[in-house]
Amino acid sequence: MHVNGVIFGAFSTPLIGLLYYLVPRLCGRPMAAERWGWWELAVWNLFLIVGSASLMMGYNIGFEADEYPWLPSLLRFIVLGAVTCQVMVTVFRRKESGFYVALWYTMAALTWTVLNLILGNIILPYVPMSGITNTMLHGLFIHYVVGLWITPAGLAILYYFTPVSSKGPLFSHRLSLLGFWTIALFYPFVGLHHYLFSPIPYSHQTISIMTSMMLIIPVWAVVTNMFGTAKGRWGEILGGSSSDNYAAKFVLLATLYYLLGCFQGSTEALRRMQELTHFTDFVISHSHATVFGTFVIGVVGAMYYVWPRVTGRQLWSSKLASWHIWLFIFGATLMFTGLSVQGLIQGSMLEFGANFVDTVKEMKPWWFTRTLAGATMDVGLILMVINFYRTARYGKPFTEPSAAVTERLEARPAGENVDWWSQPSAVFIVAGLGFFFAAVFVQGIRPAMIIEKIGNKVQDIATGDTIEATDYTPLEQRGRHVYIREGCWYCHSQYIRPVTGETSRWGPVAQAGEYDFDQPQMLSTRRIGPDLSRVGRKYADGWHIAHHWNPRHVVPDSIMPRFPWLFTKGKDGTPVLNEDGKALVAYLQKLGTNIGDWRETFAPTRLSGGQAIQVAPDTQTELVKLGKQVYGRRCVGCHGVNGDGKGPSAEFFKTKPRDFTSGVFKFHSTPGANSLPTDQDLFITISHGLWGTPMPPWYSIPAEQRIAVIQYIKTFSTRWQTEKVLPPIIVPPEPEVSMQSLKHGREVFQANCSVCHGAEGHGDGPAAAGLMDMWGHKETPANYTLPAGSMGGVKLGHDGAHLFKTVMNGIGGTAMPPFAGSLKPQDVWDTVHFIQSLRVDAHMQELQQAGLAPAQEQAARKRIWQNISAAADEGNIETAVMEIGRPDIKLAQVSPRHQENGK
Amino acid sequence: MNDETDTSTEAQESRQAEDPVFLYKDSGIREKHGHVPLWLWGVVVALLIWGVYYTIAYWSPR
Repeated sequence: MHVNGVIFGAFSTPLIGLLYYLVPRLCGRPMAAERWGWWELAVWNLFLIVGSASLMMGYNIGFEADEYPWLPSLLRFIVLGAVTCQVMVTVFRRKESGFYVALWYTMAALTWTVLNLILGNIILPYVPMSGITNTMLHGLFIHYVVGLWITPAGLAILYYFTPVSSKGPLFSHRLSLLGFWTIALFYPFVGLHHYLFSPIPYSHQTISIMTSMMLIIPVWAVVTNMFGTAKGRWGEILGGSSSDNYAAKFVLLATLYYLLGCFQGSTEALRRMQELTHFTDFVISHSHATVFGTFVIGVVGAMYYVWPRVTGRQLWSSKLASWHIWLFIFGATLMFTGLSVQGLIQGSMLEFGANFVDTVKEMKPWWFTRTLAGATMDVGLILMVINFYRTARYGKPFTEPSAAVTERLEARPAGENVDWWSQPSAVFIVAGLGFFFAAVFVQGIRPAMIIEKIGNKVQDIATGDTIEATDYTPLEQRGRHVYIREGCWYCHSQYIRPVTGETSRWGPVAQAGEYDFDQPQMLSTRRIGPDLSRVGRKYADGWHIAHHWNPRHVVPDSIMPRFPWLFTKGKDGTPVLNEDGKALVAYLQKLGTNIGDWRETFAPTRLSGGQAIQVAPDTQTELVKLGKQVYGRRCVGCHGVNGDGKGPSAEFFKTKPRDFTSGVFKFHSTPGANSLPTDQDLFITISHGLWGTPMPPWYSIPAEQRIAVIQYIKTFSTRWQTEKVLPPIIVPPEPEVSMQSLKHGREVFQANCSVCHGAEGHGDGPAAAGLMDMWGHKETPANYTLPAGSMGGVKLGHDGAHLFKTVMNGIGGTAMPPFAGSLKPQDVWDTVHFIQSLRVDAHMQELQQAGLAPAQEQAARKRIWQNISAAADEGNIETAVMEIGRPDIKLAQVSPRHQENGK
Repeated sequence: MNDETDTSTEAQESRQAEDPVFLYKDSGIREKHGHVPLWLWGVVVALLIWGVYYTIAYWSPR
């Protein structure tokens, strides 16, 4: 609403009106088909009303700056198309022999924009293409709106109103030529810089960066021309109080912002700057400095010049105009400086490794400043409207300043020395059509040929082999529509860059093939919330449900709005997701799952707290204080203020949060069913999270905070005062993974584990249905075949040492007993190998179904084994194990989520 | 030094006097044929050289 309102409401509406003023004067004849103007006025306003209403009602086609559905887009196209025809006819039939630079920009802007609207309204949404091709074309579109509409149309205004309002000749025709032709040459190529470090071909990203920097040439040429025009007249302009003086002040101020904002824009396209500032408010500072600070304010200056002439009245109050300009200067300086600084702060924090939500919290006071700055400029605009209204009603009669008339008579006739580059045909054919199509080919079609060839092929992260991404199920597709409708993409990006630690924060780098089914693409250009491209299987469904009901319940620092309209009332009055809500969660759980089972290898399952977490008693008190703060910000929403597992979001979870008051913890390296865990055990659980449950990984917060919160958690139960923490069991060296080990492991498993976990480890043994934990919650035995993060699967991974300890010590508070007394270490290792083989086989079937080439299967199986078994990683694995196949396990049994979503 | 300044100022005034000014009759806009300042040509040349270097050096990931 805001972006479209500024571009098409605040800028384009007065701009079209101003074209009716300047085009006839520069052409020496009335605008062609002038009567169309009334229709255009009506249709344009209808477009703005229908378009805004559509967006408010959730009709949004999902492209930034191109959100309007077909009806308002059609209305917009009709008006801009009609204005383009009128301007072209007027120019080519002009009586004025000269062809002033303002008309070059006007003609080019209209030609480019008509073509760009075809790109944005027809090609982007309707011509089938892969997500990355869609992204490249959108990058071009979005920058054509800015660079080939707002900029040239706005420069037409500056070029017209700077000389007329400052009462001097334009400084240099040669500078005009340099400025126009370099802008026309370079600007059409820059759009891909919106998506640097994405899967867009690297060389084409480089072209966009290089041409972005080249834009310094036209910007400095234009600025020199404008300030050169005002040279020798600054005293008169700054000290004057006529409407023309205020027009000059505003257009020259706009020129200053053009210089600053565009320099910021060129340099922020550089890769190093993008690493630091992209997705932050630094970019928002640039867009405001250029779109608002330069071009809206340029149009405002033009209106100060035109209004007295069209109403025939002198400006009612120079004082109000003065207030307007000072409010703008104050607000703009505060806003642009603040946004730049806060962008650099957030970028630096992220680069330093800060937790994402912590960086968002840091932004809150800066956003308040931004609101204050924006409100200040709004007050200025309101004063202008009052001034214009009173001018029309009560202003004294206006007469054209005599100096202008005199000077006009003294000047020499126009039309001399007109070279080919300043002819309408050159502007229309070479700049308007030629450069535009050249750029679309070089930066759109050519890289698209590379991307389309990749198709849906991606690299499986676990094995490095090529597999194929799958399309969305109907339920996920519906969720994607909800995601677009609700505008999630305005705050959440969907691509991981290989810079600033994003891979550690969120997951593997984005690949082109995983976006093959993403039209409209959802890469996004802003991160007010975290990136979501790897959010699938990071949290259980319950976490998402609680989060959408009230984000503050789960993440107290969150600024995400609530989405109560995605819920309906359940039988017991508890909110439950409606069909749209279920679809949205299914879509979120799909994200990031097209690159294989990467979480098992990416999130280190062999985490160790090291010596650092051996806390000395004298530092414990200090740590408890810090731990309480950490608990209040990270844990309280689920575990509750009293640590009893009854936080406000707990009601949405199937797997209930741990009740710390009982002092019983599931995973521990210490012997005995319910023995107290070591600090290291808790550190691992907190850092890694518990897959398939709402407990997320917290490795992104400082280790000191994790250690501190452990000390605080211990204050909830007296067990920590009355009992001693036993030393962890010693894990003997892992034996070779062999056929014999697997065979024996299977026998042990059938005898001891299958009653709960099922004969094939699917968690569906005969006793599974009736299991309850000590807190009275229904319990589900682990399904060992599921990928990392799946609900019902293992919670801390298939790592051998972890599984060994779990079998030996049991799982606290559950029906899983310790087997230390009944099984020998060798039996347990064999059982662990059998359990691991279940996942290896299931993983292989998933890869086969994803198109893994048969020639790569054996090597892939070896790598999967190496990922979860230290023995296999050291080469202690029998060759026959890598050849083993389990055709009895069908993939449909392996991935119940996919089954469910496919319904 | 003063002589030089005077000469330079005179030359500048003379150039300004000779600089053709075009008039767009209906709008009243006047436009000098003007020149592109030398320092801006320097910027243009420097950027073009950098642009060629950057495109070649960063055509593919390092």
